[in-house]
Amino acid sequence: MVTHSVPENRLLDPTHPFQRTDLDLARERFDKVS
Amino acid sequence: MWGVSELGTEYPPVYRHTAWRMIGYLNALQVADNPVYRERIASGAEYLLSEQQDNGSYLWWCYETHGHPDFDHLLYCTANPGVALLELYKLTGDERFLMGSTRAADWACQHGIARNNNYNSFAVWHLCEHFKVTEDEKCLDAAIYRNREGGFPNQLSNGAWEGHNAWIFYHSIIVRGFAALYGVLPDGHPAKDDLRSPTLKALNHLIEEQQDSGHFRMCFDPEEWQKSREPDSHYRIYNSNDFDPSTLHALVCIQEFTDLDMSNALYGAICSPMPEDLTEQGMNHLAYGVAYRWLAEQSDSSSTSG
Repeated sequence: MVTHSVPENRLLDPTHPFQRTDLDLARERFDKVS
Repeated sequence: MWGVSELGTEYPPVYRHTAWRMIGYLNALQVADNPVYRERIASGAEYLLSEQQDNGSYLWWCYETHGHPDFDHLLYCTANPGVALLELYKLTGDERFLMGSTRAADWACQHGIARNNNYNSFAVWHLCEHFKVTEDEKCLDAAIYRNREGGFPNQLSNGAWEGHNAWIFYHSIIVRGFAALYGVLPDGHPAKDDLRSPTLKALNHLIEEQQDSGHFRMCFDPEEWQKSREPDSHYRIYNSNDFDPSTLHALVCIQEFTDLDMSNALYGAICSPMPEDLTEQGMNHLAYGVAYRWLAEQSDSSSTSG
């Protein structure tokens, strides 16, 4: 049995804060896989 | 069609490659029209319609040449084309595509519960999407039942599943099923109350597993990971941390279908370094297409409200 304990709700306490994504980047990535 | 047959040229490739590509293009079309995308979707759809079995399922063309009729694997083989055809119906209104989705959903409704959680969760996703369009209560009831009996079981206290479903992509397929069901249940429905705690726990696991690059650890279970390092393991191709398209898709579903905010993890996943192999897996196409459409809608709503 493999477990590690985490608080019941970590949604308000993220481990890594990330920048809001730019739409151009998302479009570029979609174009690359198309 | 997309993909390469694993059984030789006499047999089709697995259908998910075509379905995932179609769903990626269908999402991108909602941002901007593109005749090339439309053409590719149309030919993919005709192919999928032509390959559907009389009972509504899609066969699994791996390992054996009989296609594994009525095996549990068909739950995922059938759900992906089902969603692709349904999304195309929403775009075109062409009843042939709705009928394809209906036949796939009907097959899933009567098929038993698989022991592998993520197989069930593929079907839950399609059944909920189909219910949203048709309001066919049979699909909602089947999704609730399948999720309760085949999605919830064996979740660990850390929110994950050990063994096979310890892989982050399988975990996220289960999360997507939770999100899809959450989104179609009215507030106060007992099944929605039952969903909240397992969903929170599963999301906490994703937060725990996300790296500062935005990638996710691919498998948290050391025993399962060790098995995957064997020379004959199909899972040997996976790095310890990587971009995972199923997780990206699941996070968008959580944002769209629930009241839980996973936008931080979602932004991290979208921006994380792209996978090196962009040709093999159509799931990358689906995930980036869905993320692109979701982000465009965020921009629209912020410009409208601002």
